[in-house]
Amino acid sequence: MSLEQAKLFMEKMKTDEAFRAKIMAVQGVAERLQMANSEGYDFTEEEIKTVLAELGDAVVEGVAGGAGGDDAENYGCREEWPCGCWRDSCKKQSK
Amino acid sequence: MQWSRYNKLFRTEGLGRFCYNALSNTLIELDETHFDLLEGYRRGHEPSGIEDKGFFGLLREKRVLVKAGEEENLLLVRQHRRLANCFNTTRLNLTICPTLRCNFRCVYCFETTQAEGRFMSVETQERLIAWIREHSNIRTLSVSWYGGEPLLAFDTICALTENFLSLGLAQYRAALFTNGYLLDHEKIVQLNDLKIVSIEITLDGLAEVHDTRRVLVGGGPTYDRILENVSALMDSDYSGECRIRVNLDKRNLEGFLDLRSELLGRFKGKKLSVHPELVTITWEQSYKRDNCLDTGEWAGFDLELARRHGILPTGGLHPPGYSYYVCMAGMNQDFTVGPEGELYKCGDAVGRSAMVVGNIHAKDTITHPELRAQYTIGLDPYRDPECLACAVLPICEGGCPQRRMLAKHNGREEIEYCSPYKTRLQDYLEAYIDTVRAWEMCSALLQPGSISVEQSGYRVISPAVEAQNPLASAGG
Repeated sequence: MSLEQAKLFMEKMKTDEAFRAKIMAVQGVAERLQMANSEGYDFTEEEIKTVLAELGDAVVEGVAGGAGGDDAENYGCREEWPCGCWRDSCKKQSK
Repeated sequence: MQWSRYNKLFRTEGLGRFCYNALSNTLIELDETHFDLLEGYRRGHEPSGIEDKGFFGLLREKRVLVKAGEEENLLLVRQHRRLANCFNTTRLNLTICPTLRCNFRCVYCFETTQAEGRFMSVETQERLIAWIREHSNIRTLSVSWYGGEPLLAFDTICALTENFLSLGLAQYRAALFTNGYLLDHEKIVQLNDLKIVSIEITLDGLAEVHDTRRVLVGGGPTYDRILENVSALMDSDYSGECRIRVNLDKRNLEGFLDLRSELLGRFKGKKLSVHPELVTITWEQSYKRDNCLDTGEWAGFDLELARRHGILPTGGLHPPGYSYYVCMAGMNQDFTVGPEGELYKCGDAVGRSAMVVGNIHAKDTITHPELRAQYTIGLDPYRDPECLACAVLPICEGGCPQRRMLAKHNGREEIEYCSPYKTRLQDYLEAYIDTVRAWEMCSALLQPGSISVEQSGYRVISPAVEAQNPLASAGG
């Protein structure tokens, strides 16, 4: 059982429409995961929930960024202070 | 009504059809009918009418369709907010170099004064405190300890901090940018009292790579000692965060994942993060420019990390929300202070007399007002015709001011300063959409039954960021 297996399963679900339809045709969550296991993807419900949480973080990160206000916490950079190296704006030279 | 210049209408391979607007920072998914409708607008046709009032309202709200002059007015508001932030006097953000001497000789370093013996004198420290006091309106002070290697002047850091804490400000905090070699136990135990909330230490790879790039004066290895110190830091009561910076170019790019894996595994559960950064050549370093990645190559690396390894770029894949972004180089009263009290507008300029804007010992502190004005106002992207014509200005905000300064005003036309969004926006958006798809699929997997999706033909994938009026709370 592994997180890696859970991620590989999600990749298969994303790219293989027939596979996805087959899994989603099953109505129960536990049954779906059992089918995934029987297809060779060895992971637990906890592990797929971890994948979901990581994906959720990736979906919201940066989108809600922007202080939208002029308070003491906003030093003007979108990057959280201190000024590290905001990827596309502040390219403080390598030290 | 007209098509916004900040729109990007695109189809993807396997992910669908989308419209993105940079001004509202909104991504909308479309079915074929609605995509064709927008394609018509994009080509300048006025379709027979958008019967879906909801869709039309969305397009107006998210600035996909705009009235003549509307975008110009919105940019004016943005410029106004930027200037309000630039001239804010309630906070002071200083980068302080207590010395420019360094105990390392990194192969790509841009500084030229590492061998010199300049340390900040007591007289300059006293003048610095007095000068800060002259900023009578400030409520907060943030300091980035820089250099050279700032830990060579740790006593100065301690002495200055004691004075900063006695200023009676609402908030004082500091960050430390160090090579990590001198971060011993004696210093670690003082970090909390020094209000150092963040430490950035550079490691360029595992030992066999790092020790060919970041070496002691005389050429000795440094990796093992730095790692010992990081380990001690993580085991201590230090309450701040440790950022491991990895300076990457073509010569060590492949080793990044191994280093990241090693560090995150070793310090799992600790406040330590690992960040890839770009080696750049903007001065007369002897390090070959050919070793470095350009902006496009860097974006490719960024995206590959996200797609193949789930490692997100700083700030995520989606373009960031607007936040009155102004680098400290553009902030009117923020400076980098050298050991002799000389003032620069950027830490990357330290040691270069041509980039000095003033000196705290001078009667009129700002000795080169035209250079300071150039940074604060002259580099305003809203004054630059090239930026004003660019479709990603709202999510770029002009890029690095220091690099723009060198490229536009110092004859260094080879220096890149534009955001990767200028050429790779769709790639970043597609990577984001791919993540959203995976998230939605995973969510559906974990819900029993079928999910019925409302088929309106369009939906917002990412929200706009509604900026508040900075003047409501600006103290300047």
